[in-house]
Amino acid sequence: MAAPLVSITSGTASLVPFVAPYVRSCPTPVAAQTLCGAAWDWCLATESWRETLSTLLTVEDQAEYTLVLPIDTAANPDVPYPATIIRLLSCTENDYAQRVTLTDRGVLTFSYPPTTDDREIVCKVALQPTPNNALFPDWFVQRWQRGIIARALELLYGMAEKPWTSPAGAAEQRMIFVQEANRAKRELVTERLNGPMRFTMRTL
Amino acid sequence: MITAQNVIDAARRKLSDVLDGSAGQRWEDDDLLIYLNQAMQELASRRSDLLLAADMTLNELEEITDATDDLVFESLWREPLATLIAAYALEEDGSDQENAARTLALRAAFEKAIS
Repeated sequence: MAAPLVSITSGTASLVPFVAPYVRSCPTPVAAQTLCGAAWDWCLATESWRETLSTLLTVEDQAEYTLVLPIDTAANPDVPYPATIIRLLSCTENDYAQRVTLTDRGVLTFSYPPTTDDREIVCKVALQPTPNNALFPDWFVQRWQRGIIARALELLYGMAEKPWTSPAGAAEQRMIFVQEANRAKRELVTERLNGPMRFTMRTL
Repeated sequence: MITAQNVIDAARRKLSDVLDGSAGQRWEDDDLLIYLNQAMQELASRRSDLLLAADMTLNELEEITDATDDLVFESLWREPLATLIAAYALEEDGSDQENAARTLALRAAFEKAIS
């Protein structure tokens, strides 16, 4: 089996310095673990962990292909097509139009098997961490750090009877988390359809 | 320290799944053990301070495979865990409106208990 394209490295631990000043007496392991849980929540709330997986080649009349997913992840089958972008390189229009299904184990099934060999299948999928997953890729953590930090602070402030407990702080961070999650979803939706729906106002 | 069986028994009471002192009329112990592992995972991700040991390291959350296993959580957390297990169990019947409402109520009770 080929190695996954995505390397999962230090991940959320790099965000501890951003959280620690707000919860001064909180032990570092608790902050680090909470950040990991926050990234998990963020991932499920926004479906924002998307990766382009290693390219597969079609085999004539073979409908099922198994994608190589990063370790400790599952494909998110709930993300509606075309969020899961499957691109067949150098193929006919019919290949684009046909229905494709994807399971959480990464099994990709074409309704109509490809009719020729050696076409490249490039697949971009939304991933979700499995319960064992404690490490997220660096790009994911860096890109969505505001939302992840807000969720971590919400959880930390919400821990009852601790020196750093703050129900008001938890509510405030909750609001930031929801705002950030909405922004992330908007960004992902616009990217997945027609590119960013931003424009620059003309100035006279 | 509590055992998995303690939590499962508490969950059964919430699910009204105890008849004449014998458990397991509706939900199998194996199913509830799976839900218990999920519930522990969720509780640990929400309250990682509960795993903090005296030497300031975090205890490892190990998968429970037998009902007699000890849990890493203190007995104070039996009820919240049982509540969450009951919510998971009732989620199976999500198409049933009454059970769906009970799931929401149990989840709300869990949220209240841990914060």
